[in-house]
Amino acid sequence: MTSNRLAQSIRFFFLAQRYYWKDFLVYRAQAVVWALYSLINFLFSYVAITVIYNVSSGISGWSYFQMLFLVSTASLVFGTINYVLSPDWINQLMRRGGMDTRLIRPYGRATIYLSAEGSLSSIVSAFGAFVVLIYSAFRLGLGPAPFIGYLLLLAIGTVTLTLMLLMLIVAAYVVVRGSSAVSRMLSFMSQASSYPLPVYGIVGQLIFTLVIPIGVASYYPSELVLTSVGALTLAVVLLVSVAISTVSYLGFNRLMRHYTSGGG
Amino acid sequence: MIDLHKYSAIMVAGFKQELVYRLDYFFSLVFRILTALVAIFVWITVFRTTGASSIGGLTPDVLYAYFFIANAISIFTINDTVASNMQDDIQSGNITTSVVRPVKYPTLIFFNALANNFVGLLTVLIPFMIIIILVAHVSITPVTLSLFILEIITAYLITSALYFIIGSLAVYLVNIWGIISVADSLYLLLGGGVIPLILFPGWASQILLLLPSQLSVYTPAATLLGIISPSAAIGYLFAGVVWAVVLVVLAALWWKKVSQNITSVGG
Repeated sequence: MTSNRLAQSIRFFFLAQRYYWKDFLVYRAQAVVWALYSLINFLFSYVAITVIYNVSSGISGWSYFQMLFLVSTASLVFGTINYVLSPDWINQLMRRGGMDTRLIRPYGRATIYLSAEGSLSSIVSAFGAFVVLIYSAFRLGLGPAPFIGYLLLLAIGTVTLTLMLLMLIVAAYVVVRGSSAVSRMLSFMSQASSYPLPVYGIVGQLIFTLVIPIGVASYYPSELVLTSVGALTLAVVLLVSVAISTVSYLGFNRLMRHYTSGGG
Repeated sequence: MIDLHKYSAIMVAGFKQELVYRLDYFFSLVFRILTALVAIFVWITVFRTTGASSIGGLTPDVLYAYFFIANAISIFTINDTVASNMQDDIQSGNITTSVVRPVKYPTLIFFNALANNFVGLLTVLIPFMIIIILVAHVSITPVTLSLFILEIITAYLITSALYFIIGSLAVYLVNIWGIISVADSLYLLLGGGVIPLILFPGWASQILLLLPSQLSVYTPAATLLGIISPSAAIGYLFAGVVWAVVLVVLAALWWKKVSQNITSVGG
């Protein structure tokens, strides 16, 4: 029964994507400009890393290609999240009542929100990040075996962050009726996750693991492949992911009780 | 005689518009500051790893202050309000009512955006400058402060003219969000908002310092922090003034041509 419902939700998600893509590609020039935007944003972190390693010996314990790997992982995660969720668009839908007609569909609330169209052009930065990721893995001489664990952790971390952001978008709507803060937070998280967590000190590392879990999506999966992660750390990361995902999902549903759309 | 009341009314409306969602605005400012802190943490680690007292001629204190002040400057100088307001007016058809108003549309759009951006100036740039002066012990002379103010004003004129040209493209393209976002990102990168221009390879740095974007973040921050000498700053400011004049004239000529092609909703 549950697996059937999950399959239906996934089918709904992909069906929605099909229509969004058709709509997006009607204005081809716009689509190209948005793709260019995603590409430029994607290059930002690489420019920063390249300049840092050009003028200095970089970050202790991290070679240039290891940093490229980490930056690509972060870009892949946030490219995917931006593809699914757009804080501004969801906020607009809620403010203007556009979400009401969607909520009467026979799917779960989270499925409807996650299928509400994100930034489609972010697929460009996610794809670009994947290419650089493969290139840096090749330059580091990484074999395919450790990638299974990496991809699994990456997927779990991305789902965790997505659910947390979903809850925050609704929380921001309920409390301040705006989305600028969540958009800025997303941009901040994307930038912060491009660097190794020890850079932020022990307090920062704890915050980025337990409170704003960017580490579980980019840093720990990368560390798993590039160095090694102890069994205890791995267990903590997985536990934190499950805990934050659960709290976010429950929080989202609870906050939805306070949802009133535009005019409502 | 100039009717100041007209312009102050436009600005008051702009202020109110910007501060409608105060709490949201406040939290977005917090994340802006945190984003600047990310760069600072990274460079702290880089200095620790390298063990050098300066990188590219920049000491740790100056570099940390740079990221802090660069972030604040960009709120005022890299602002797409002009272009996004123009797009809204063209999409909604409001632009047609501007014909019957006693103020010309470019003036209206400029003052409205100025009010929006003044909120950033008052709530971020000035407090950040005071913090930088107190915490980083930046010694500001009347000369550097005057140059800084002139650079900021020139940068604002350049950005407004550029975004006005971009905004007017909505007459033909209707939806220009993509172009506005590309311009924002490029301007930030080329203006030194991500990395100080002095740290780019020599050839790249020289090219970037010739572009109008240099005045948007790098030059004002570098002037204030003493990274560049006042005489060099005057040179960059002069180049900026030339860019501002060229772009304002271009924007005026372009608007003359574009305004003849405006069609609102309903034809």
